[in-house]
Amino acid sequence: MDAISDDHLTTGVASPYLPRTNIQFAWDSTSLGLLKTCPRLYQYTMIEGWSSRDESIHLRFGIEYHTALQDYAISRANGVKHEDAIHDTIRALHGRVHNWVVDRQCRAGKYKNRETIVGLVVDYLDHFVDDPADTFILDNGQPAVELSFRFALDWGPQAAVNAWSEWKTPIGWDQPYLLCGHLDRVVFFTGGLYVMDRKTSMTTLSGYYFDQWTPNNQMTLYTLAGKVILNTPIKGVIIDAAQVLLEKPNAFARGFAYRTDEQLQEWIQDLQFWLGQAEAFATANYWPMNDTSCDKFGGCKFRGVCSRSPVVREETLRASFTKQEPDERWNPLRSR
Amino acid sequence: MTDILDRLAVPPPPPSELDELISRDPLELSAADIDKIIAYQRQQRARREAGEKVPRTKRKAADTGETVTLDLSKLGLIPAPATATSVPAVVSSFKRRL
Repeated sequence: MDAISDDHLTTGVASPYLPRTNIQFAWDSTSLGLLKTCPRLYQYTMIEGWSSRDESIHLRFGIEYHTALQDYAISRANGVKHEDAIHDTIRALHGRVHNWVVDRQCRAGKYKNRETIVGLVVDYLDHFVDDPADTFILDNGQPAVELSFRFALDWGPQAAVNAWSEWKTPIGWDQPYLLCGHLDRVVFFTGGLYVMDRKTSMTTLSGYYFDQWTPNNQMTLYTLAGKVILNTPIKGVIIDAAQVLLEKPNAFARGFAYRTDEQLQEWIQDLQFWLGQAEAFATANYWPMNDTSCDKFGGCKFRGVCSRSPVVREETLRASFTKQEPDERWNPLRSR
Repeated sequence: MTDILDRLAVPPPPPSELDELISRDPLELSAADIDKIIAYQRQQRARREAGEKVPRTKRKAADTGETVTLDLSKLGLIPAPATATSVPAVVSSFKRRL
């Protein structure tokens, strides 16, 4: 098995858009998902940077969960025993969250706060003390955890090819589309290699919960990324889910998402159309509303904005959301 | 008036043991404190698994003292409402003409 090339791993931060445009060339499953759900949702989130208070709680909780489990995996890979590794992990976690204050009156804050993240991490690590999934070890001796990746497609935005300077001279350059993302963990399980993706949820981990991952942007991209980066067959993706509960023990469950080569090829083919659409919207500087998505996934967060007259939407956005600075907005090129 | 406002100023409930440990400055947390946090969580989990209802952040009940009914007129903030002496009579002479 070949070592992972550094070309595939992301470091640092750069803009995911072509210079002086809103034409995104670096994509991940989050930004693709926004575009496929509704171009207007994509515009408000990616281009304009509007975010709600709850999102920052979910994001922070998820990041702390992933970081804690990464710390534990690194400790164990270095030969540290389970109890000592938990101790070190919780100490590091405490250092990061001791002054994290959330509004406990909102649903997100009630379930996701500094006490529940500590509890969830301890419970997970105890639950999987004899984890049947073994972390894959890279050629450099490091465990394959928290791997940010990017790889290039063999086509790119037309705007890059057709670019002209202010002096009307062609300055087109070959900028391919990049697919980016973040692999939580690569594991050996029942004789095969899998990408493992961790999820935290406030909902029951039933068959219905796991059904949402096929078809699914993120799991398809991760299967593809695993094959490209590791240059070896990946059997699929293990969704490693944790449910945060307040009065019962936290619950854990794992599900599987498989993709055939034909399904991966179809996804890439579909991607050509989606990215072409994204470039067309950005070139026109107009992202249409998909008014059949407003009631999906519990209701779009911008439904209250889009249901108002266009002349008052900006005011509604300012009243209900926070506008992030450009360097704070979701960026597929930002490695964790 | 000051007495009423003072009685309304109820102190917040004291933090739970876990709250107190987690909110401490990391530099003040000893190895034993970290072990205490882990042990506390394991104890809570065992209690939940045994079917006990244990809220995530168990706080001691606050001592609220005497309950005070807020009367804004006594505080001089609004005029006292007039006491109604009788129900206004229905004006029987009004008839809606269609």
